[in-house]
Amino acid sequence: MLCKFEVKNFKNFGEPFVFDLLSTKNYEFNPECVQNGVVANSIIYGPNACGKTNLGHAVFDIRTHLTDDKITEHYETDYLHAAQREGSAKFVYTFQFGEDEVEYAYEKASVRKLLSEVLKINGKTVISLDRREGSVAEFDLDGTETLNRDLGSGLGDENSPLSAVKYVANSTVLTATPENSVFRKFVAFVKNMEHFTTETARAVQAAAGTVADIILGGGRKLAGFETFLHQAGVACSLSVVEVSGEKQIAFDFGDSQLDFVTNASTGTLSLTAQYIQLITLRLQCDFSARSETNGVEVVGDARKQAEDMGWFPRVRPFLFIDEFDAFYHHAAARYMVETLKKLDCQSILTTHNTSIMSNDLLRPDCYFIMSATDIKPAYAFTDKELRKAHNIEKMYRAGVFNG
Amino acid sequence: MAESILFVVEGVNPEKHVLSSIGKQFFENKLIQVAYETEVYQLGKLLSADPYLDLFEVLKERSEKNRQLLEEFNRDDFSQIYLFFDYDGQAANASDTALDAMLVHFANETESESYT
Repeated sequence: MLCKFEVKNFKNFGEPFVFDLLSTKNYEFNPECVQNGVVANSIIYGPNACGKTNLGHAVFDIRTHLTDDKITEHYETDYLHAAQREGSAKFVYTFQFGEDEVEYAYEKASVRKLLSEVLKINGKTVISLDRREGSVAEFDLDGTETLNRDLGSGLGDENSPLSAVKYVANSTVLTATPENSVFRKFVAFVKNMEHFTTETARAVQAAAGTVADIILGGGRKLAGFETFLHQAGVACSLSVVEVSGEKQIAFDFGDSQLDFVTNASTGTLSLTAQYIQLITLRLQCDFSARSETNGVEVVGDARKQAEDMGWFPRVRPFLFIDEFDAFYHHAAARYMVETLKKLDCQSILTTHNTSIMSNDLLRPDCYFIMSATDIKPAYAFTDKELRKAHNIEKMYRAGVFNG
Repeated sequence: MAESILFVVEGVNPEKHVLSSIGKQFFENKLIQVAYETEVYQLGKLLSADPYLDLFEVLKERSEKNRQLLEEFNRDDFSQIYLFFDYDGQAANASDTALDAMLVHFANETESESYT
């Protein structure tokens, strides 16, 4: 799990900005929201334009050079803070996997141009490279001894050099040591992190023809989707119709049917996008990824073993949803949080909806209040010892958490 | 869930006939009854000391019996809350001023705004 994130000189974060997900609070209610001292389910509040969306982009910057994702426009333009264009953006991630800690720090001049990287496992530097001083990397993981350490030639061009961490993850025969196992968990975590933005929701809505394919794919039943909508407060009856040989979902009115995608409300489509996302969460971890050991796809017993070792998470290990309930009825928003709590997934949501700010749902160390300069859990704003009986929504609206 | 109403009484052995008559005469909803088990001035003192406490949760954490009675409910489930307490003018902490404040605070059965 991600337990701490620091960023500087990226987008609106001109000064060091720290998002600390560690909690030392021992609230007796909703204990499942904090695991091993790390907040597993969090919701971020803050005024418009304080940087909630950019925080999501900052956290997912790690994927722009460690995975083969297409780099989106958000990163391509205005990457560095407007007042510090000549400098570099700095990122430090701290992850916790059981008892082990991984710290990954890097600097970039632009989204594609890595300047330096340092990866530490339990405090020991295992991979490091500072391209301002040369192109020879230092590796200290069992199995990397025979690896070419000079990442200068033929491994990415000057403006988008190859990441040393990605190089090791993709090409090395790492032996089976506890340290290498932690490294694999880190790589698998990053590979399967999921960022869900309003653009993602719109893309799902635009992909009208494929909605039925996804919802009914893999032998899934329409009733599952129908139940999801009912529980989120949308009363409707659905059926599957065939149009020009293709299956489509329709609202069922007995004698007549109405196409689902073209007639569903904005809120229902938003819920549909979220349902598809949950299917993705449960089933579509990046299993196609090649094994870090020998470049061969992991199948059968080997895959099960890899899953048991935590190298291939079964569900998305980390999810960030920006403005997750922008079109939701308050009951639907609450239902979504309840659903995420049941998944083995660290989730970070942003919202303006205070009706889900309740000790019935999460805890005062899971609700974060963000400003342009910092982000802190709700309890940190008051000397009062908060307990379940406190109405934290009322406190937030009354300005108790205004800092 | 059908609309539910919460009756809060002072003692564990309240005036059962009176309460059941009130329930029958005025309400068609599901009635849940819990006891605070101390005189009203204690409740007033607690809520005035911390304006951000939810009465519902305060009642729920008051006793194991209350916790069981309110197990299936959360703080948003009751549309109305009614308090039935004795005047208890002889109580050590009895205060008409405090009582006045409570009468203002608890004047609306559907909401409990910040206690001032």
